[in-house]
Amino acid sequence: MSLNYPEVGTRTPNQAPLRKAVRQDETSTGTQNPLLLAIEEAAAREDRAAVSRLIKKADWRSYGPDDLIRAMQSCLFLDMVLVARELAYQGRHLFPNDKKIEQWAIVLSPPRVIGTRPASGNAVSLKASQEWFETNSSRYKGQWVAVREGKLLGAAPKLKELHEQVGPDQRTSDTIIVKVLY
Amino acid sequence: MAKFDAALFDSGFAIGSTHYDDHYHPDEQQNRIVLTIEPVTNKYSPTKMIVDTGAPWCILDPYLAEAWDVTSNSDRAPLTSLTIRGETRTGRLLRASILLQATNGEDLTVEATFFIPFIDPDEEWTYPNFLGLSGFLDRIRFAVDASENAFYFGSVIDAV
Repeated sequence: MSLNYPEVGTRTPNQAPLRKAVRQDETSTGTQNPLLLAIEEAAAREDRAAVSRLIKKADWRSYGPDDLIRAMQSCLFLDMVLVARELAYQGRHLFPNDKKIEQWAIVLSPPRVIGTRPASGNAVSLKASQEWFETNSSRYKGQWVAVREGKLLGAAPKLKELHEQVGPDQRTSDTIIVKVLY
Repeated sequence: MAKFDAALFDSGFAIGSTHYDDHYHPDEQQNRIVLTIEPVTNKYSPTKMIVDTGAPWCILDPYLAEAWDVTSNSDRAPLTSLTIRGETRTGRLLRASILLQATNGEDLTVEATFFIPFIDPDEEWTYPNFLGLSGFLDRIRFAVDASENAFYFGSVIDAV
């Protein structure tokens, strides 16, 4: 972990990579709407209060789905997941047949607990594999490894090469597959 | 059996507990909470993921995401960017179900949101996998006992 940066965050000083990707995406309208520009400028200044105020004040009925998506992306630049979620739900209400908005609403929804089941009984195998990683994984830096019951099943620089060594019948819930990082 | 299994299971706080690793890779100088997570979207092996309350989303190696079948039909999935260790990466947000394996008690299945980064052809992803807050953690209860590397977990919704 770098000491200079937070481990992970949506806040970024440079929005260019995303803007480029969005331009390549057919869903972008590229409109120069004053409200959206104001939201994006506020996001660039990291002015969360202004972004929130502009979004809440806007009458989104006069905008299109792509405009809402741009506003949601500005929210995510600033880790404002809850505001983006609210906007996605509003978009879902305004544009119930829009598939892009629906996808945004789905991914911004809170995680959902689907169910429970008795423990699979892999505990002993997984514990042995964890011990294998502690002791042996430094010898496999940069490689994908598959370990089951504390035994190495295969190691390769690429995941698809590991799959050639470790077939589907071995890629079971008691096998751990992970890339050993430097 | 973890030390507080009975107390936390009986109180309804947790339904399961599992042993976590201290390190994602062996030479790390920093302690972490590394869990073993299994995909539900596809029959495939579990992998290691770091619990990171500072990350908004779960982050998965793009090659693993493909193996887990998270990225099929993802062409229209929402685009966003994420700064990981100072580097800004663009990718898509996708939904997938994952299973938190219990050493004791019950496993928990959660539909979570993942950030899957774009990578160049032949580029290898060099970051760990993460379990993020908005994408996964904020709908589960969890507690950590560092004295025995025990991670206790349950659902914030009682009726699962």
